[in-house]
Amino acid sequence: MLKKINWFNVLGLVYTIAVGIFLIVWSDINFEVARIQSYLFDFGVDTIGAIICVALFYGCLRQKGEGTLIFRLLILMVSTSFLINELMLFVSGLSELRILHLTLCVLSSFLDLALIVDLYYYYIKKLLSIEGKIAKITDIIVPILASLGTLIILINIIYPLTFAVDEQGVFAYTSLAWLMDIAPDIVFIIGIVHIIICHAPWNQKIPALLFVVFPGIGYYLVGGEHGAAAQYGFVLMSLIVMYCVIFNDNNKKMTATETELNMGTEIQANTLPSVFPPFPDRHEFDIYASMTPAKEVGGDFYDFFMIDDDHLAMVIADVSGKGVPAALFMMSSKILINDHALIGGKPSEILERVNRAVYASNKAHMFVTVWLGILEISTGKLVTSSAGHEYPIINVNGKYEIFKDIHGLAIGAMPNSKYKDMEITLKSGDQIFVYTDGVAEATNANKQLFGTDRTVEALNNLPQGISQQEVLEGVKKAVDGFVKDAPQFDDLTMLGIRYIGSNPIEASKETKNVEELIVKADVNNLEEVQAFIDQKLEEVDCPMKTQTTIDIAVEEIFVNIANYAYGSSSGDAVIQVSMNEDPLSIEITFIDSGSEYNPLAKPDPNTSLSLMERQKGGLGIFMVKKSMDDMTYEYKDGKNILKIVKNI
Amino acid sequence: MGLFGKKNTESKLKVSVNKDGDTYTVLVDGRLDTLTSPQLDAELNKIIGNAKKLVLDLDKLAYISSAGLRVLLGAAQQLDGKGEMVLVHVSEAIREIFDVTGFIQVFNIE
Repeated sequence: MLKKINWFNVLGLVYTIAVGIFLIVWSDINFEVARIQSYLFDFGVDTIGAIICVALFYGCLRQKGEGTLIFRLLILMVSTSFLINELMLFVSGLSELRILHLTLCVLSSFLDLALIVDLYYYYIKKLLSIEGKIAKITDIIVPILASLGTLIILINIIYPLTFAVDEQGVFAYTSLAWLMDIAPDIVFIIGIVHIIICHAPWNQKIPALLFVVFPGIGYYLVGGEHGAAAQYGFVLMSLIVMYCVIFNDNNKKMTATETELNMGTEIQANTLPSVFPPFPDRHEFDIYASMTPAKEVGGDFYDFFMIDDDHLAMVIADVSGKGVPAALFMMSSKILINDHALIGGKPSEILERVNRAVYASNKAHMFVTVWLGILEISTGKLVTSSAGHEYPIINVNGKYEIFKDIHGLAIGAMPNSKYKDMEITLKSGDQIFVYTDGVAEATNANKQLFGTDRTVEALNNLPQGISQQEVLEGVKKAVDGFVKDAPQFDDLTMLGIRYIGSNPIEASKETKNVEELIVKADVNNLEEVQAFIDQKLEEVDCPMKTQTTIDIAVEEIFVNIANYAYGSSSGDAVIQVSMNEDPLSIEITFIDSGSEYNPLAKPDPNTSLSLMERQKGGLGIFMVKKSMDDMTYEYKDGKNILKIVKNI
Repeated sequence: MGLFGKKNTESKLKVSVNKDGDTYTVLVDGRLDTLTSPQLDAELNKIIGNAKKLVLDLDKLAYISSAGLRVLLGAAQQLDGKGEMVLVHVSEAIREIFDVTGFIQVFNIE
């Protein structure tokens, strides 16, 4: 792995560290020299300043974006200022080093000017993206001012215009010292004017003004003193404030994008019908649909709506691709299908019209697979058409089976795709399950696909007579149980409908008779719980062996709740029991309001290990899993709900 | 129930120990559940240091949950290398539980 080395960063960092170390050592060595005792404060500021420069430079190594190069250059300049300032103070008063002193003074003055110009003009301009007429003018003025300022400083080498170092090596300003301040003063004012008139939002402008004005005032207050290290301290302070502001601002920008994406997901989810039951006064069918997005916004969707009083349209679709483009395409497809379905026609005709409309405006070459079904509620006649979508899974003979319909091409793929209609007449109790590839292509850690066979199996393993919501949750649970901890890459979108017809009494089967026991979740109540279940089992002459198996399961689950659900505090456990007929089975539900815990998500203990390798944990729930005919978990309204079913 | 709930657990499990040299035979009578298992655990811990052979007679064991299984596993693991643990008179129902949990392969069942 060869990574390109940024030599500017490396050398810059080495330089600031070197200056820092040098100033520490230098101050330490010369601490005793009487001549510089009066500059001790400045020596201290120089040294600390140089060290802060190291930290600051290091801190912005990974910073990217506008102005970071100028920012790092500024740090290097400040670091150098501290170095020169300290050397200058050191040679001050040594007549034999007069020339060196003068050179250092010129260099120092020059750095002051460069700092002001860079910091208060170029950096602010870059940071706030200042452009326009005034910027064009100042872009000419500032270099002229800088050159003028430089010229004034340089004149001092041959003629003491603004300052002088006399024969004794003592520095003094001349009466024309103010000449040196003209350029920085004007640049400083230009900087402030720019901040005030620029188009940046005020939450950027105010911090910018603050870090210009306050350090600026400080700079001018102490800047008059020759060799006053504190003036660089103010510049440094300015840099630190900026550093913090920029960092905060960058983080804020990222948060904003994330918030926007989350909003996108929410808007998208809100366009899907999500209030169930959707038609409370219609008892002729039970419909439920759900979408679990894998990550962000995606392209799956479901939809259903009444075309007229007797016709229910159902849609499930999957847009190619992911992210924002897929989401936008999904929205327009959904609206088009809705519109054309309401206009009328057979599902095939609706899909053909939608395809033409989508294709005509599909510059991005995206496509969408669609399954569209229209149910005539009074007769149970269901007409469906598929544009390249997964086979529906239908239950018309008491068992879920794949229904191999005739696919047309996905919508948006070709200009004149033709679609076929399929017709099924549903009897009361018949069910249809449609889904997107997220279900069949859910992948576990071993890269195995959940597949349509497992989907069909999961559907057939569900108890009879449950609601469509429970059907979908059952499939979701089966997928989750299969996928376990492997990341989900695709949305999980499903729609299920059960046709009841206009004679609902026949279809709605059992009204369950549920008995309930509420006890404190404490192992000492185990007997009471088991006695409650046993009494129910004895009523139906449950064989002794089955009763023992159920007792064990009840113990394992109840003890688990008693020991772990409420941590060190205590709470209740609710045990509900009901008997199902055909086949005769007992259904026991354990409810606790403790911390969320899904025992089914726990990996099974490895039963093939040797004696010494076997672990003591996880055995109980594993025994329950193995001995019960069904076991489901859900976390709902702050409650753990664990249900077991055992055939008797 | 609270504290008083514990009072009748004694009757749910009876553990009797027969010693013959360094062979100990432990008769487990009743239920091995969360509440009673600590009783067997304590009994086994007393003898495990001295036993060369530990025979657990499960003839009258009517019920075993994971708590009981953990006690048996713990005993077998402590004895490993120093002695042997044998389970005798294992009923069909208990054998099934050992089978499901894989203990059938790690326990010595006669």
